[in-house]
Amino acid sequence: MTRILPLCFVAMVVLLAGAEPAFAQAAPAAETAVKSTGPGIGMGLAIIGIGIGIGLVGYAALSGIARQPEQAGAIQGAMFILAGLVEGAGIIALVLCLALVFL
Amino acid sequence: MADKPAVAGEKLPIDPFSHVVDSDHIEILPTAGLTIDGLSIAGIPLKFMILMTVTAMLVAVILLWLGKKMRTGEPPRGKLWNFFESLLFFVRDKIARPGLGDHDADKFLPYLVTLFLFIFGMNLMGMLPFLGSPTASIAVTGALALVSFCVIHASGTKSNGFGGYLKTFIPHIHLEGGAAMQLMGKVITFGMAILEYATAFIRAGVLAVRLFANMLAGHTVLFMILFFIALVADPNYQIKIAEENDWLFYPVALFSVTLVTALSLLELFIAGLQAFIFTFLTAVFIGLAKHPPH
Repeated sequence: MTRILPLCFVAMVVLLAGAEPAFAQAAPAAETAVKSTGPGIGMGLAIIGIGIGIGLVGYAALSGIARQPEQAGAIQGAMFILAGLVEGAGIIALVLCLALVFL
Repeated sequence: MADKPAVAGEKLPIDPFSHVVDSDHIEILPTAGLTIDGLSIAGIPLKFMILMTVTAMLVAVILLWLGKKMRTGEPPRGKLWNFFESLLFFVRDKIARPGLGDHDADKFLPYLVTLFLFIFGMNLMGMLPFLGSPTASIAVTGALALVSFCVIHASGTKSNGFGGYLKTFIPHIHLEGGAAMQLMGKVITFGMAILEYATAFIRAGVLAVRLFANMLAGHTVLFMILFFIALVADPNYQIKIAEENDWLFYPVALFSVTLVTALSLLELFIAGLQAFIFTFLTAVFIGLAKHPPH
């Protein structure tokens, strides 16, 4: 969830760079704009997945800690591991989308 | 950064991966011309190789010094000794014992400690200015995952015998009923066995790609946010808004540097967390291979 904002900026820059028309030829500009739209949408969907995944992990961890505050240490440890796994899967998708823009 | 001027109507000549991937030069202060060039042998870039060697030597020196100190049998004194011993205890109590059980943990502790410290050191190299993290290359993380793969399946084979280890991948499914249900049970078992065999390879692959993608994405994001300053200030990129408003440089630079500082703190945390997750999953998989659940 902490990665949403900077990665939205990356997506924005990529779309801006791809859609710089400069009032010259519209055809190449439109082509680059369309070429960046697919990966841009893919990035947005991947971030939605990460957000929901980490949100659910946090929800479960917080309810566990609220029920049994003395287990907070163990719950926190498991929470970090699971959040790392969920984030890892989403970031794989993000990096592949970013690679699609430039390949 | 402004190597080629932008052409109106085409994509901007930005390569966001240029500072994150392997290269044949180390730019200490590029504007002052302090560049170490020519770091390649037969076209193979050497920057990551050098950084990996430096990290490996650092880890070796630290662990050898620690071993010498531990051999004296005295309790640790001083900040450095206590710090490194706390790292070892962290790997033993939070990674080896939960993943492998108390009995087997000590046998795999050398490998897990080396893996954790090596990956952590390589990730932290990316936080030093002008260097880079070698784990941002799929070849490096692939090699680490390959070693873990060999350790996992070698220990599983040693525990269960080769044929026995292959048999542990086949799940046991019990269904009540007549012949038709038994047939369906066999079909499901066959399908799940194929999945389990594939999982053995996919898990190692995902270990590699998770570490690679996290490091690559983190440093690329940092680069892009800092790059906004160059985008706004450099006339080569021909950004319409930047050409018309010169004052844009100041808010963009301030915002960008603040955001990059905050994100660098997050990157430090991610460096440690990804090393921990890689080592923890290796320990868990070794434990599962030695004592299969079914």
